[in-house]
Amino acid sequence: MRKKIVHEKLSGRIARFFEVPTEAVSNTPVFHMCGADEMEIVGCTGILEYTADEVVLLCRGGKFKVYGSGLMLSDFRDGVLSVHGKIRSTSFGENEV
Amino acid sequence: MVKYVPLHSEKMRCDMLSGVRRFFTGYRVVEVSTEIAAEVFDELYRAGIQFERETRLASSIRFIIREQYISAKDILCRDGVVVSEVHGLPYCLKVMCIRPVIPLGIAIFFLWMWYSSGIIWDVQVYGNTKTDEREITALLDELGCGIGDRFGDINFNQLHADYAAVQHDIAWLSVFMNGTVAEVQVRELYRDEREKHGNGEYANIVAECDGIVEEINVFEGQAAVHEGQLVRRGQVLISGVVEEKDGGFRYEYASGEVICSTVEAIHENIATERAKKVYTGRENTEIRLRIFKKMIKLFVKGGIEGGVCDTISTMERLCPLGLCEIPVWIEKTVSREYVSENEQISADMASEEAMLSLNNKIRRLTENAELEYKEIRSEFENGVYRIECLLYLRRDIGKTAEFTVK
Repeated sequence: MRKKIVHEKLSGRIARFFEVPTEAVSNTPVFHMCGADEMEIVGCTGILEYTADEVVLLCRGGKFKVYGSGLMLSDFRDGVLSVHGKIRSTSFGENEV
Repeated sequence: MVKYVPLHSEKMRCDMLSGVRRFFTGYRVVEVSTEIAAEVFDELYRAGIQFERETRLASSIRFIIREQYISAKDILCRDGVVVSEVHGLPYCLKVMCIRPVIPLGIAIFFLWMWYSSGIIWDVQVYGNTKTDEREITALLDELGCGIGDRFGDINFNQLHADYAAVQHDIAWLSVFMNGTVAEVQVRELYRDEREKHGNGEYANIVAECDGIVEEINVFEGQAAVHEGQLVRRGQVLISGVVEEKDGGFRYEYASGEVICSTVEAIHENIATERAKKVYTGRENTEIRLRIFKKMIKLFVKGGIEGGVCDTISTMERLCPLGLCEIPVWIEKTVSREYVSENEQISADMASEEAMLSLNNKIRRLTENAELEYKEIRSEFENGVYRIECLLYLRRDIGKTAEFTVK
């Protein structure tokens, strides 16, 4: 655990040093959101829950939860996963259950 | 300054050709139950299998998966997942392999469309007032510009010249191809209605039957009879030889009208026993199809062997949905066999028929004449009803008799 934190800190420091985005030098998941209807997740490793109201994704660093209504997964291309629907809230972290 | 970075999915949406690609590669429609949706989608995601056009239904999620991701079949082979048959081009090819008539028909259709696009489908004539349209189209057909001819082979300048050489009533003619329709514009020559006569050709007006002259109207020539005179058939009424004051004479092409009182005798015989056509009920129908200039015999229904027949032949041009005429004609020839049988009619019926026939004759004779009065006498003898009629007519009895002077 300590190694991982050190590694992350190191990657963050390298990214800052070379003035490049952190996600370019690490496997950190990236979340793009376009309004409240569309969201893209890069770096997702699996799908745990998939209902119209809740989508739970497994990412490096914990579970990523999307709450809303009429949620739909789409476009599994190039490691990118898209979520469509009325997105109400999201949460992310190692402590998410 | 904010730089616009399109979302990945947005880029995918811009892929306008995805539908076309999907058709060519083939695709299947998958329905996944919501209970196992997470499991299935997780495996699809991990396997990197793309899907499109997902739709959430009441208790399932439907999406389209391309046929190229056939490996997904293992993932999708489970309870709660329904995979359709393959759609798109592979399906079409499969159907065509099972039913080769379909691609053959399509191929023949396109081949026909390609072939017929270079053929004249219709000829439309504009600008003619005196010359019959059928005459123009028949002449053009003879010159190689008719329905069914390939217009790519026509030298239109040559055609115009050839047409002008053979048809003297037309000042000029222009053929313009509008698609596969030949539009023919014609300009007719002004035709002098007065008759032209050759050098040395002159004429007298002579009587075509006996009569008493009542009125003479001379347009050209010199009157040879006077009112009240009895004239015989063939007698000169208006002479083409005109005497001059100095005792000489000149020739003219005589014209005019000579109104005379004439008598015309007509009669009608109707026998009470006569032969009558009785149809045996046997028919022979022959249908033939004419496409452009090719005649194809479609079928013959029925059969008549060695009988006497009445034959009626009709030819109709096809006009699908009443929109436009196409160069396809259906010729139907119906032959009906009959035999002759003797028929006995009553004297009353014979007299009715005789009167009807006589009235038709009178109507024809009085078309260009004035009926002054008539005498009718009828008799029935030896099974024949005979009706005789004398018509006293007032009409122009002159007819032109040409002569030549060298």
